[in-house]
Amino acid sequence: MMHTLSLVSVVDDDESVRESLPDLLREFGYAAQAFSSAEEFLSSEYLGQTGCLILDIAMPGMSGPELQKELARLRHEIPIVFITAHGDESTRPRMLEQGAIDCLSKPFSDSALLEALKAALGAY
Amino acid sequence: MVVTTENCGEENGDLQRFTGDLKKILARAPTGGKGIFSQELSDLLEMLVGMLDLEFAYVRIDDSIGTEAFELVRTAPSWGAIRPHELGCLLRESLGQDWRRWLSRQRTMIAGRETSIWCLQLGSEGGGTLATGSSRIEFPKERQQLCLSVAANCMKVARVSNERRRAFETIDQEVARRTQGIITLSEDQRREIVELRRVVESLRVREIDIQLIVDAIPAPLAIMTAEGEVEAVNRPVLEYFGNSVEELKRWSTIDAVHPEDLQSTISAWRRAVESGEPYEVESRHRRSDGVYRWFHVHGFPLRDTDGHIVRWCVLQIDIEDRKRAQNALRSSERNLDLIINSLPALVWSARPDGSAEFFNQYYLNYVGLSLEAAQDWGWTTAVHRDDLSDLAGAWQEIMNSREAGEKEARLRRFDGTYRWFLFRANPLRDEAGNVVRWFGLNTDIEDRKRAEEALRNTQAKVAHMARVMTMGELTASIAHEISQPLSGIVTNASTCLRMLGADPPNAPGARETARRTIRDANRASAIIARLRALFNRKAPVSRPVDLNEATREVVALSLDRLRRDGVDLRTELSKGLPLVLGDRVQLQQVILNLVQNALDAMNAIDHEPREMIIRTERGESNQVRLSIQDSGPGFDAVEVDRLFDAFYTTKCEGMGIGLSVSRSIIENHHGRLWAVPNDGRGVTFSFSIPQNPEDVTSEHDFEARGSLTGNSVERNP
Repeated sequence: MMHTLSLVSVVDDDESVRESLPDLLREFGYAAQAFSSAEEFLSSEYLGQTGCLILDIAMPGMSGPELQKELARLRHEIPIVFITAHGDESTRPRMLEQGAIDCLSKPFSDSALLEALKAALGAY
Repeated sequence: MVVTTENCGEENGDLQRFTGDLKKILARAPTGGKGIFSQELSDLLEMLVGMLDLEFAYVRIDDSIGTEAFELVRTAPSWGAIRPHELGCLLRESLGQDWRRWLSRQRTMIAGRETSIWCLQLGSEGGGTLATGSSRIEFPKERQQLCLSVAANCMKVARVSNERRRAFETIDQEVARRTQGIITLSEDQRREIVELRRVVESLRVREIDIQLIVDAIPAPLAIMTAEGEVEAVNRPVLEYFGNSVEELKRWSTIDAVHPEDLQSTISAWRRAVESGEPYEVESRHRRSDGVYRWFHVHGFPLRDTDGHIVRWCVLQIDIEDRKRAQNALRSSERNLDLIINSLPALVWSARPDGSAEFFNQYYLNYVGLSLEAAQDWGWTTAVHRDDLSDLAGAWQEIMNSREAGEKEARLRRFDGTYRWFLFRANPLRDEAGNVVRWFGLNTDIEDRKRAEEALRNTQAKVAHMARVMTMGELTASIAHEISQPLSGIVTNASTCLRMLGADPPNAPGARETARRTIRDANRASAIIARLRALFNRKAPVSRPVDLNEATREVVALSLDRLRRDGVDLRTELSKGLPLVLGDRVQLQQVILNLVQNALDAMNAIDHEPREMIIRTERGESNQVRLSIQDSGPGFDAVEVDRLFDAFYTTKCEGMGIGLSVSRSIIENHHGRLWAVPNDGRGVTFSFSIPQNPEDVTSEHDFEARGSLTGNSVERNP
């Protein structure tokens, strides 16, 4: 068990993701918080404590990449792992190019997620 | 093995834009209508320049009805204004003086700029050309080509109909003018004679002074004795000849009548006096100033109550103007004959009973018949056998209606080739409205027919592409809908496993995550049920389908990709294949999906030949089978069983939906879809479905076996 729990925040408009992913993250040994929109995350107290952000790309309101830009503007350098339900082969390279740690297509395996988190938090 | 979904979004967007462009062009298709043709063409050019990002679009229309050629041009703003003729000159400098020989595609310098040119001829016999230019080296891409071809077809159709309309107008005007001239002249003259004669005869009854009679008549008139001597003349006669009555008594010796007409006048006069019958003669009389004018001379006897001839009355009507008009008419008729014989159209006339009496030289040359052979009903030997009864029926209807009418039919040219013509007949009526003659014009519409057909084919292709495209859209949307709950299932199940594997196991947590797994799985099934309902709403249309024909269309849609991927395609479409009962579009979606799978699979190989064989044949127990064989990397036996499961894929990006949907379509057709590894490389996917119980075989069995070489898809020798 880690000494200080790293906080992983999940931002996704899909309820089943918000429900299931934090439990898995806790099983991995991270602290987890879920938010249903970019706006909710930006206004929350967890913004400053988040060590890694798992971020859905397509959401109503502010999209994932828009949130990424907003965070950069606010100088919050949080490593981001994007997740998406649009299995487009051009998406992942584009996201990596824009500074994401990884981009996972839904559904993704727990090991793929764990790899990405390790990379994110190691890089932090 | 691979399954398609990637890139659907982007490609669909392109296709939709392209379909939209084609629709816009078709909506702007010129009609060739009177006075608006060039405006319509300008509008279309303007649109093409914007839509296809052209530097310029130039059109030249030549027409055979005698008007000069006209040129139009539209340019991109970067080119600025340039007059059509200027650009025409520049193009001729670069591409050659004879625009009919311009190469369809080349890159050259125009006005000092390196430009890619693409030209399309508007008609097989040099009716015009459409030339477009772009600075881009890859111009025109395939879709630009298709857009421009559709536009050129539209122009071609409009040009032909514009020309045809003007040919009709020319003929109609000439016929009307000639008819009017003839009617007016003879009418006037007849009325005048009747009126004068009535006046004279009414005076005669009173047997009064001769001079009184002659002075009462406004036209030149002479009274002769029963023996034929001039007795009295009226003032108009004296004024005209400038001679006294005494001199006029010797009219035959004083050049009053033109020497050339004198003999015929004297003999007509003698015959009348001997027989006592009225006479008529046309002769030239010398006016006082020495000028001869034509007169119509009408002499008739005046009798006493016993019936004896007492005097002759000779009316002289000045017909100089009529004669001149007649001469003019004759020369205009000669002109008309010239026009009619040199018109590049088949001109004819027929009697009221429909039998033909006249054909212009062009007609006779065209069908290779003499006038004698073509007359009456002889011309029908040149009409295509299949069109003859329809044409005869239409001709009968036109005659019954006594109104202008038209009908299309094929005519045999002297060399034996048949071309489509529009037969058009216009009635010429007398005053009572009875048809006295039919005038007809047959116009060659072969080019128009071809252009129309090409246009129809293009439209059908576009419509079909749009329908088959929805397969890709559907696949993408299913993939997205399903991946959401699927993501929950995977995550929950992973969590559940981890909770159970912990020491001690977290049983309540595992139970909760397992419960969520089931819930998400149910959610996924609900989505599938919804999608299935969506499918079912568009209930498959069951019709007899020719699988060979359906396959050819799919192959045509895939030609671009086949060429790009360098695939050697062979088709072995079985002759006399029974029709199947089913939904043509759905079956084509399956075929397209299998073709795309095979292409995707072969993308993985680089050094071996890429070969695809599409085969149709009769299967066992009244089934029809279609197989698509590829030379891709293939798959192992374990994979075969899972291939058709939804979401199963060996392709890194695919979602595995295409094959499972394909299989459900085939199962809906009471058929089977399966895959077998080849002996050598690759896989063969096959489906078989029951043949149509009506047991009709495919109608089009031309090219039953062959390879596609026409579009750069070439078969290895």
